[in-house]
Amino acid sequence: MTERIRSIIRFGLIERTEHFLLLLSFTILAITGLVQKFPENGLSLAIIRGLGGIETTRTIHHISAIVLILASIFHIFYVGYKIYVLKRPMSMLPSLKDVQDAWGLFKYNVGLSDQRPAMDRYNFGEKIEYFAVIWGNLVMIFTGYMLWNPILTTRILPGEFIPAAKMAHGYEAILAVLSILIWHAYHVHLKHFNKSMFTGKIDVEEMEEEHPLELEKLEKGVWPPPLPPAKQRWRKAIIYLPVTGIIAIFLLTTTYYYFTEHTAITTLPPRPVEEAYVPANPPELPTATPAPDLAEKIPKQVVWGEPPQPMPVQSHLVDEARADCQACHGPYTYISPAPLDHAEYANDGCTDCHLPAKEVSQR
Amino acid sequence: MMIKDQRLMIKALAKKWGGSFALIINYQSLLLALLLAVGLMAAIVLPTYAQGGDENRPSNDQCLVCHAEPGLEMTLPSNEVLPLTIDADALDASAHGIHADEEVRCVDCHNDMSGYPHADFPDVDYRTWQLKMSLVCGNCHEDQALDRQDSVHARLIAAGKFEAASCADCHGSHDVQWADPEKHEVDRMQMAEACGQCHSTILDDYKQSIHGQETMKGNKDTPTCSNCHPAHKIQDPRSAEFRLKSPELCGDCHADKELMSQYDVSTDVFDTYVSDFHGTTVEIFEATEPGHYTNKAVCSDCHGAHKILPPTDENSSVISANLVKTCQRCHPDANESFTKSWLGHYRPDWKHYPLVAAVQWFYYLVIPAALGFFAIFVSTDAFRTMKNKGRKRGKSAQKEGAKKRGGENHD
Repeated sequence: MTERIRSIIRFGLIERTEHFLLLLSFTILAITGLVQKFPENGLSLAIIRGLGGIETTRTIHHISAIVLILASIFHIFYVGYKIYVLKRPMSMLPSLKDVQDAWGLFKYNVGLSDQRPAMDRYNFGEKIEYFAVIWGNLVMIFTGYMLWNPILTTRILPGEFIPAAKMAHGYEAILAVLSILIWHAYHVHLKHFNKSMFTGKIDVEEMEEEHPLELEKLEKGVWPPPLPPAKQRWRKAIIYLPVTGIIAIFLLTTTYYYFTEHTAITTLPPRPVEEAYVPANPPELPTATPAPDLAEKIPKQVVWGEPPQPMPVQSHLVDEARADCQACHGPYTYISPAPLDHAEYANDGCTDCHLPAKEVSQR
Repeated sequence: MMIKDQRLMIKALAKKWGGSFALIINYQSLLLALLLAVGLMAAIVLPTYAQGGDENRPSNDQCLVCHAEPGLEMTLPSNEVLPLTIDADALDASAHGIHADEEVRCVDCHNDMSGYPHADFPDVDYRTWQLKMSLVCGNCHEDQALDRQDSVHARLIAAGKFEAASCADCHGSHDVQWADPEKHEVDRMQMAEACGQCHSTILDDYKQSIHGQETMKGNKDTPTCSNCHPAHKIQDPRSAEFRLKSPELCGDCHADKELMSQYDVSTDVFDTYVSDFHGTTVEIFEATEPGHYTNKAVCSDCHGAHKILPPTDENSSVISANLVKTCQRCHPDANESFTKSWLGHYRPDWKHYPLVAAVQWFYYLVIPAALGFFAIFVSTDAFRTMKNKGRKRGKSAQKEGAKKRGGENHD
């Protein structure tokens, strides 16, 4: 018996590069997106802070989105090229056999069957994942486009599409991340660590379990089917490349417009020009109460700092106040207090010695 | 040793001369006497009345003997005429008057008055003197005075704009009124009028707003100026911090179910704002970069700040007829359809937003269905894989056991 092959080339450099770009952009998009979906979470805020604020986080999200879009556009043309020009079989297409395989594997897993269904190059689990990525990318790219360019979108579509797109973008993100964490992580990380997307190679043991039909065809030498002759390939490429080139230019232009819309002003929203300080009445000093007749008799001006006049009492404003001199000038008061030896004197006696100025002059 | 000797000597002398041993001089008692003398002189020469409770400080009546007299005034060094007549009735009726918790006398505030004749009036103009006097308020109202130090008014005054408000501009001086609505019957519109002395155009706007209209009717739930711009620590409303915090300020009342139920106003406004793009961003900014000016709309950008009209009013900036203009202030290229992308503070339901509700329900069904499928499949597959591994291990163990046994037999 000839020595069996130990490992097989499963993915070429282009597939692996595509996967790497997808892996990178998806992870960054998921992190920078989920923190915006759950902004009240402490971890989200910590990540936003770590990335340098929400505006930077959004810029990172946008750049990753562009990478994802470019990778998706490239993938469409690459798959088209492989099918149309290189005549590769469409082994990723779902078929009735996938449903049978899924059911068969489920029965085998729960013990209803002893036979593990034999699967081809892409088993149903991988097909689910591939089409989930296509669906997810379509939803995310289109809703993301709407959210990024709401002005342009609402010129074409009713305004309600924007909140609907936001709703879809958020929920689809949760669906995508959880699918990756459950389905993808289980099959290629937990069950056994499948490195073929990075090394390109797969072990025969793994092939026996996951892709026995492909292994069988490989060993028989009927797989992969031979390339068409070079002449035929050239003829097809001459048609394919210009046509796809035009479509590519159109798609890339659209992508460019992705990040050129001027959605909102970048400065603070304008406020009505409001002068805050507009005094109702220009602040004036309170006007003095108009003085009654008495005012004519008494001096209006108080001269600050006038030295105390012991005798006679020169300026005294209030005639009535004289009735109780000691209310102000008692020995324990503060307004020109009387000497301590006056403590015993009765109020009536004050005017014996102290007289108002005009009375002094009369005497 | 020496001190001891001195003390003994003093005692001996005291016995000899009775009580007059104080004449004996040693350096300690000299120092003490000096200090006492200085203290006593200071007490006599510089009477201070700042502390309430000193019963000897002049009563208001003593001051009013002169200052109740009509027509009393003085010319300041700046040639401004300062009336000196005090309305005794207003003083009695004021918060510092006869109903005050503690007796407040003229000299408690005018603590630079040391008897009559009064000290020279400082060589300042009226406003400077007024600002200087406002420092006195903090002697009793310490918390408010401290709060005020960071206020926008205090900052403006510090920057030389003396027209910015200080205590007496809002509270009055001799007719100072109670200002705590929780403790006293306060005319809330009068409080707004106090701000309107300087901010007259804003007061006019406020009076036209739904808040102002209700306040003028005597409603106590509606905000006046100080509910949003807390009186003493009033912040610059143009600051980034104020802008970022402002939605929460509105939310304090507008998310209060009990309060809003009386007026049939939706309490969803805050949550729906926060769950939308503008609100989410503003909340993130507040949490991560509170000093950052964000151009994302806050409540007042659409509703206005002072002239807030009910959304049913035909002049309201947020009624659908005017909405496109309002949106265009930030989104210059917005059209009529763009305005419909805002859910108007509604939660998306089938009635108002069928498309959004449909998307929501699609995912309510698809997410559990897809994840349920994945979970069932993954768990059964994991179960089978573990079982297979266990069986393999069992088989190889049996084989090894058989080999060993075979080997023993061979021996």
